[in-house]
Amino acid sequence: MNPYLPIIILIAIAAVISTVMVVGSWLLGPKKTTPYKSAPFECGVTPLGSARERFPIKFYLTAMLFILFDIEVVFLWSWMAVFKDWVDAGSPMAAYSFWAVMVYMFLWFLGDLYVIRSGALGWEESTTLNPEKLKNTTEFEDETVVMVESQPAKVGI
Amino acid sequence: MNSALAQPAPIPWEALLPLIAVATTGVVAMLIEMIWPRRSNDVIVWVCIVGLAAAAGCVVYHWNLPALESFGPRFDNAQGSVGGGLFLHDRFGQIIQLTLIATAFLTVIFSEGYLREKRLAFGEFYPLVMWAAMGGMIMATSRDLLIVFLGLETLSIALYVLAGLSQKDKRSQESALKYFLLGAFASGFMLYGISLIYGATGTTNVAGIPALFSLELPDPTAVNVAYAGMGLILVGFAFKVALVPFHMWTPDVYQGAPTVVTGFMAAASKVAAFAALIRFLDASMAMKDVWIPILTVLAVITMTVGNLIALAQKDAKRILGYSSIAQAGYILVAIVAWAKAKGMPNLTIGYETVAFYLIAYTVMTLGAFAVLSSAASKGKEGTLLEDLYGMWRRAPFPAAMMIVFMASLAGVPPTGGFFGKLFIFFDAVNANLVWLALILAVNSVISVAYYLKIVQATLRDPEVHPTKFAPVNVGLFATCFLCAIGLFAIVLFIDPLKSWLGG
Amino acid sequence: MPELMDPSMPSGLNLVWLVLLLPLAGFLFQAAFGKAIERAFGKSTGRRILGFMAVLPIAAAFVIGCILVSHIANQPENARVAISTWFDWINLQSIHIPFELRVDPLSLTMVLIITGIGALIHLYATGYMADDKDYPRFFTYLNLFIAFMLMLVLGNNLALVFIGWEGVGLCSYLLIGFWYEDIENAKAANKAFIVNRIGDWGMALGMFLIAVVFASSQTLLGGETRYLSFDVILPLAQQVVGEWGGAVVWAIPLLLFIGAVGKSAQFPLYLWLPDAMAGPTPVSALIHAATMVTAGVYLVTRCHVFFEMSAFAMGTVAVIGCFTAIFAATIAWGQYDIKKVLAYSTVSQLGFMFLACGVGAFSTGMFHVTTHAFFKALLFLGAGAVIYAMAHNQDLRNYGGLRKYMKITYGSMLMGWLAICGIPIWAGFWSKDDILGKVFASNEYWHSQGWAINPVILWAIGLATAVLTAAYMTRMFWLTFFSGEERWRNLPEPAHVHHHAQHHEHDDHHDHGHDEHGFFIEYVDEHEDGQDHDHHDLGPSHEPNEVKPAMWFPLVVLAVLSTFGGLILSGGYPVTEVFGAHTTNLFKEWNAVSAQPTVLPAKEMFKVSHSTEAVLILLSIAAGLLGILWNRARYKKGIPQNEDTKLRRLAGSQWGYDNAMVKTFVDIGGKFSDAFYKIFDKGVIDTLFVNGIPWVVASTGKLIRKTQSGFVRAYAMAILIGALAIASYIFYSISR
Repeated sequence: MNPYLPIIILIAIAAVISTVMVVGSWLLGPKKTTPYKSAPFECGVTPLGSARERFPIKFYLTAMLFILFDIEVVFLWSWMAVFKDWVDAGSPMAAYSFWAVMVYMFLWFLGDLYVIRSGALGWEESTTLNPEKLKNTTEFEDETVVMVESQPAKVGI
Repeated sequence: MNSALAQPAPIPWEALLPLIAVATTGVVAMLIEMIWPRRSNDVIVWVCIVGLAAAAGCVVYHWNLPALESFGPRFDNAQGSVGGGLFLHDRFGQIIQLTLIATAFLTVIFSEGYLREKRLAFGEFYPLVMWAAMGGMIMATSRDLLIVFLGLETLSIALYVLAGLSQKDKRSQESALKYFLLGAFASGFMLYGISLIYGATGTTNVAGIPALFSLELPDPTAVNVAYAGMGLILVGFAFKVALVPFHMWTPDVYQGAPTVVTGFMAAASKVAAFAALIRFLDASMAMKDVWIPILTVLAVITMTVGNLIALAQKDAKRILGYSSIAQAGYILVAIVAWAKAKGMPNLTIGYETVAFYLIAYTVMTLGAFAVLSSAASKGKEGTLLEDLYGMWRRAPFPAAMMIVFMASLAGVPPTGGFFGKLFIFFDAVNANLVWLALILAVNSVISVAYYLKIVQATLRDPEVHPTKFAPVNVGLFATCFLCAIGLFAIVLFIDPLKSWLGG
Repeated sequence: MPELMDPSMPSGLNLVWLVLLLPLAGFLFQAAFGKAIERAFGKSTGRRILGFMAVLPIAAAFVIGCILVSHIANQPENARVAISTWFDWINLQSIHIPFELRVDPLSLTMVLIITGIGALIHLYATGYMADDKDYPRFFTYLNLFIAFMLMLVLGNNLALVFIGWEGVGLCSYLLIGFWYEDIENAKAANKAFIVNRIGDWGMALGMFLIAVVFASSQTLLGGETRYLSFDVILPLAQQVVGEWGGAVVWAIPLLLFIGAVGKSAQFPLYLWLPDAMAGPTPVSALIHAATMVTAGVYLVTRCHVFFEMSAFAMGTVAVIGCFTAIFAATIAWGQYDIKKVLAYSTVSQLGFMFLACGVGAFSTGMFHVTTHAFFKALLFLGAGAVIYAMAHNQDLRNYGGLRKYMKITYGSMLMGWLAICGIPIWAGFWSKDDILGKVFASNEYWHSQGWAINPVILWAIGLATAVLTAAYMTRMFWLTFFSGEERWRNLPEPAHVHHHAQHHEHDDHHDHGHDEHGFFIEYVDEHEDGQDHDHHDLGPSHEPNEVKPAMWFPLVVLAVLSTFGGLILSGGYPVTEVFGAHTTNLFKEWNAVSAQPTVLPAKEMFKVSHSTEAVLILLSIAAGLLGILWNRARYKKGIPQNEDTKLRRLAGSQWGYDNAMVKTFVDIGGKFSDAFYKIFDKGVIDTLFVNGIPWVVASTGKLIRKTQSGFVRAYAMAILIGALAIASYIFYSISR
């Protein structure tokens, strides 16, 4: 077997998944076109004005949560790499590490649940950039980032 | 090494139980909030109280456990075993753990009224306090620099979030971000230092450092790298305990964070960081010729700068922030004296002075912030000195307690603060550091001025609109009362402390 | 356990500790349980219990005092001193001060006066204070006072004496200001306290000087380090102080005398005593007449060895005493307030005592202390009864004809009046006549010692004082009990609103409708109760009544003592001498060991022939009679037209002395200290130190504070700089 075959398979799977996700969201998601959304590099960053723009905090939140998932994968991957050996050798480390990881996963899962429950992943209009900015680009020099005034927070507060 | 042959290390549950209890309490509290959002505040408070009591019970129950030198997986370096596990089960660790549990407990009971007044979510505040306490407890008992770092980050990240908990308050947000950014910056130093130590000794366990230096001919490069690593770790700790010039976040964060968080932060993070610091220094005693001068200079400028700036402040929380910087300087004097005494014949100074002062500091700081928290109302923190005017008339009990706490912070006999400073003073004199002791004395005289400012503010009549002080609820009362009693009772504690920790 | 220094003494003398501890226990009881008992048993029963518990320890102490006297009296005259040590109080290398009591005739004399008269006055106070809202507090203070006073007289070293000295000062302060809600009372208490500080300053310096002098003469002491204990210093005083010579010889007695002047209200420090009359009348009787104010005389007598060594010091004592005697007598003559009359009379009588001590007749001085305690306590208590019956009005001008309303009070006060006027056989005669006789008799001796002032002059002044004393006492007595009209009937009817306000100002002890709290009274006087409302203030319809038994019983006892006490104690000493009959002068013999001059040649000092003695006695009787007859004639028909003369007003205002003192020390002193404050405190200290140092500190703080810009980047920069500094240091030290 060609040693590069798994890589090619991996690329293929990745391509399929991403295609499915993009197409799926295009098919299933609501389509509200705003001038701001149809602007190039649509990700909440205004295309014109000062480059030292402040980002809505939401981006950081999402990014941080993403990193958590990332780290989880790193942990699990390294663990799985040795787990199989332990199972094969009948080492007591297999059960030991399994339950240890289960505890970790349980806590991780709880945290995840809390994140969803508290609406940290909810993306509300108020947290995005004000669309009016697009019309009035000259005022960008003065910082007018809309700070989080009304909080989403279903839980807390 | 064949990983398939690895054996699981025995888990010393008895020593881990306090940590597990505190962490689980936080998880349970969070779950409750998740399941019944905002309707279960009382339940959460009770869960925390029970959980902390259980944790304290675990510590006390295993008090006389055969002192495990260390436990947990052992890491070996190239020279063979260095004989250290991950954790340490000793009196100092137990005392610091109890102090942290008590800190969390008092925070839980006195913050209730404040949280209600400011409409902060119980289910977020309490779990974070629990986890922060757990992080501190890990720092106090770990011998592995990475685990220390883990504890430090657990503590810090929980505190970052806590600082920003008051979402409508821009100052709170600002303080959280500042704390986070600078904390991350300092963590970078610390982590770099740890990696250098690892590079020098081949292990992240602190036991590697004495092992390196006890070699007959240590590799000079490794030694140099170890020195550099030590310096960088010191920077990390210096940030955490707020030594000048790594202190600048302190006043901003203390002022911006919700008062109850400030109280907890001031007490818990300082106690934990100092505990970890003194353990690290104990391990790197071989390098003390280098770090003693560094710490001495840091102690002097920390005390002096902290006290001097505190004089010019108008916000009680900010004053206490600078005061905590100065207090860190005092503790550093104790550490320097302890380290100096290590090499001296006929003189043994153990951890007891440091432990005593940390406990006294915790009690008086928590008490002071508890009183301050009663000045908060819906819209504002109310911690400007003007906001405290008239407290004596409107809330006589907290005002009286405030005077006691200020007296202790200023070092007025017969409070715990006085004895703490006295012990430090004696230690310093015994260790031939008379000049340092004198600087300490001069500084505590200066400090009286701003502590008196707070006392004076509580006694003054309001000029414009009087602050409405929160009614003294059971939790606040109990906290003030316990802290005040503790301040006087702690003196009885010095002898047991000596017998447990005496060098 | 306490131990006697001389084991040959009867061990029963250790009972002396009980004398001290009983009142202390009483104090603790009243302080701890007073309020609680009053609450638990109700006001009426509770106060009866408290009153009983207040009198009991003092009376018990008196009984023990009598037992001690019998023990001591059995000893030979020269061995009548016992010292009982309990524990080491201060034991340093350089000085040793044990907690030790001295049992000797002098201390026991004082103990009997304090506890005996004290118990009577306590009893009286249970009635007098029955309706005061702070009943337990009063007896707390009063018992504490007795304890301190006993400490003062029983202490065997100056340090213990000083504790008692300050303690009685404190109690005096507390009791003068007992009705502290009235600012005037509080001011009087402060005045007493502050003026006494001057005396205490002298006392303390004297004490230190004694300690220093004795500590430097160790060879004589043979290793003894109790430099303040009487049994060490008194026998050696002559040698040790003589060795030093120079100023110390007169400095020690004069410093001690300054203390005595303060405590015993002598000129120029007498100022506080008249003001002290603001306190309740039993306090005036106990503290400011019978006991505390005689502490100065006690101190001089106790330390008489030091005084005897310096003729100058003795002369000072005699002159100050003599001057105070006549000065205060003239002031008393100008007073209208019955208590003020008695207060100045006390000052004047204390002057007599110092006069006696000054010429070397210490025993006679103490004798006058004793008789004075009898009759002055009686007069004060009687005055208290009158005041009580007259709705707390103290003005003589509103009295008159009380004789028929208050028969017992009148009868007892009659005895007291006769005693103070110096009419034979009453107590005052024996002591006063003895003093005058001794002063006259010492003429030759003191003349030879180079006194600038002739004792005969002092005697003449004393005799004039005796006339004046009889005069003002007769004036007081007549205006109160005789002089025809009942003058309060001329007063306007009191307005009720007004009197209520006034009452609140004073205290509610005026509401003496509830008589059942009296110690001996077991009924509720409903009649009185009913009268209560129109009975508050003096007015035409006021009907004085005899006081209750708890109050008149002590009067009667004291009247008996005032009548016969002097005669019994002196054995009729100077008179019998004239007739050649040798009776025992009980008091003098009893006190010989502690009050007999030791340095001065006692036998040669008082030389006087029998015929001169007889003339002296007759003159002193005549002085008393003259004063009585003069003023009886004057006040027979009420207040004469020419009563309010300029002279009397001047006398009444203490000849302007009080005002002058206030002007000098309060106003000018205030201005001086004000100026000092402005120039030195504010100018120098404040600018340079108080504000200067903080300014430097604070501005440094402000400067450093500028670094606290609020920018995260600046903070991070600081961390970086710190880290770089540490790194460079490490680099420097490892590369070395």
